[in-house]
Amino acid sequence: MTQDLAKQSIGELAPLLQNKDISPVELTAAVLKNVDKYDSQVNSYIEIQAEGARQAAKAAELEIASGNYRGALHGIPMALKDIMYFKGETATMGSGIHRDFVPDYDAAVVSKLKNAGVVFTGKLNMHEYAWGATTTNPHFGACRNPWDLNKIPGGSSGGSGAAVAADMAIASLGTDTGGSIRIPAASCGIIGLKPTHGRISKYGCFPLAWSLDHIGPLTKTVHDAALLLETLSGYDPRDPTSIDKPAQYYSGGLSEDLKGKVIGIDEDYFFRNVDKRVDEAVRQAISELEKLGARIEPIKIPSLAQAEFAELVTITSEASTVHHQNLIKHPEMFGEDTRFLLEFGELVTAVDYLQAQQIRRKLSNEFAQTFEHVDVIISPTLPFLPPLIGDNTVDINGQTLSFLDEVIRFTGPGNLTGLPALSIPCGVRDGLPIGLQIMGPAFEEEKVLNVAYALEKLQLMKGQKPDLLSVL
Amino acid sequence: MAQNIVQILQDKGIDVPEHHEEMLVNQWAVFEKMRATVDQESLADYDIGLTHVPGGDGK
Repeated sequence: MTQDLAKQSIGELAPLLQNKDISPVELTAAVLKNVDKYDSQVNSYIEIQAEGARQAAKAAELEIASGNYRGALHGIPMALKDIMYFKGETATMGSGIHRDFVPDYDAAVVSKLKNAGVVFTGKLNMHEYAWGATTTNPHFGACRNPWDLNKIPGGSSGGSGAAVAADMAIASLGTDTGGSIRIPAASCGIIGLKPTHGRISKYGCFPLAWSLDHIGPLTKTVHDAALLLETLSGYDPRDPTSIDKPAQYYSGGLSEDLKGKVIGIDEDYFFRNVDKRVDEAVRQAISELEKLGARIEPIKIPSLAQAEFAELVTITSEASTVHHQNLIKHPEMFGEDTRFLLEFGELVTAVDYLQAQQIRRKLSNEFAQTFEHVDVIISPTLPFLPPLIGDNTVDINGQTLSFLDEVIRFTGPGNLTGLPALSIPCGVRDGLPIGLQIMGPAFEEEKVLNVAYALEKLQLMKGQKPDLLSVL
Repeated sequence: MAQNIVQILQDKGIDVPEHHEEMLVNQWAVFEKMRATVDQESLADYDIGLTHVPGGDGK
């Protein structure tokens, strides 16, 4: 029973906690037991805070027992990517340079989760400074994919993806600048939601690239993602990119009714050069959605042809600006791949950067025009299955291609435009999960969540989960 | 090309490890291919409203 608790979602656990059928203490113990059992292999945690979590769980138990139940997150064990600040606690950003950095304030998202009564079990592994998508971290060790310990969990929020998939956290938060929530979600077979840019405050979260960065949930279910979105949304004047748009009661409004909904498919961009196993799983899922009453409409977004240029220029320029001084003063303290990317970003010109911003504006306008006649756009999240740890290349239908050049091809447009995008698992091939991406109009996360909810009800994963007991 | 890249970085005070030189040249070649996808003509005078906020943040 105790271990089974850790497998459950927030939606399943919250009523049990509220009704005192279970205690946050036993739930936290179940999660920590999994951490103890599996994380020496998976390496999803940078810091395990077992004692603090037990104390917080006890406090939550007393509070609930005394009739002060705060809501669905009260007593839920979560762990966050180690890039979000907790007052008085180390925030490493997965780096050597910030290994001992202790912020003196809470990130906005941390404050909100603390107020909601979340129990924090620790800080999660990530790609150094979030600048990469493998989570093969040179300072804290490689994080491994719970579905196959030889494979990457994706990144940069790889610890978040792996911990949730392996029931070492009930839910997590990640950051996403080119796909860093959706890529680990797809690689680890869970839900990852990047909300609209400006929807969730980034105050107290170390930047990778200001204009592309987002915070969002990684969860076991669509309902949990909706729940965290409504908890974390809201205007924050301390974040210059925060936008004052009212959030909704997303978790209560979920609907699987797809009748009359229109799904846009851009074959030329989002289905070009895709691993045939991924292609087949995503198309099968789309066909199931059609059976539920959705209509498929071919679309064409011309500026997507320039999206890879715009994403690479923007992310490298902004990241190299953030780290400019440290690249001059302490280059040896960066991991090999991060240092290389920071050097590359120093070569991009101001004209390149401004042309990238022109492309972004055009792209946003073209997406807005497209969303006048479609509700969502569906694509694969990744064009390949997770590669081996240490591989710099991926195999797509017999072609050997650069991991770096391929990994954010489908997720990057969501960052360039700031549009909401979610990855949901849609099947397992050769023992690895496959992610399907749903993009929606700005500030209309409910459209994305509803299509994901309908897809989840189809149970395309057939209940498959990583079986760590069999691989350890 | 490798010398140019290293020179640009060194002029900025950035020390480039020798084994990065070839990698940077290769990545630059990939970048130039991407740059060739840019529709320069349509972007030339396309106004993106790049601006500064008078009065600072919150005004």
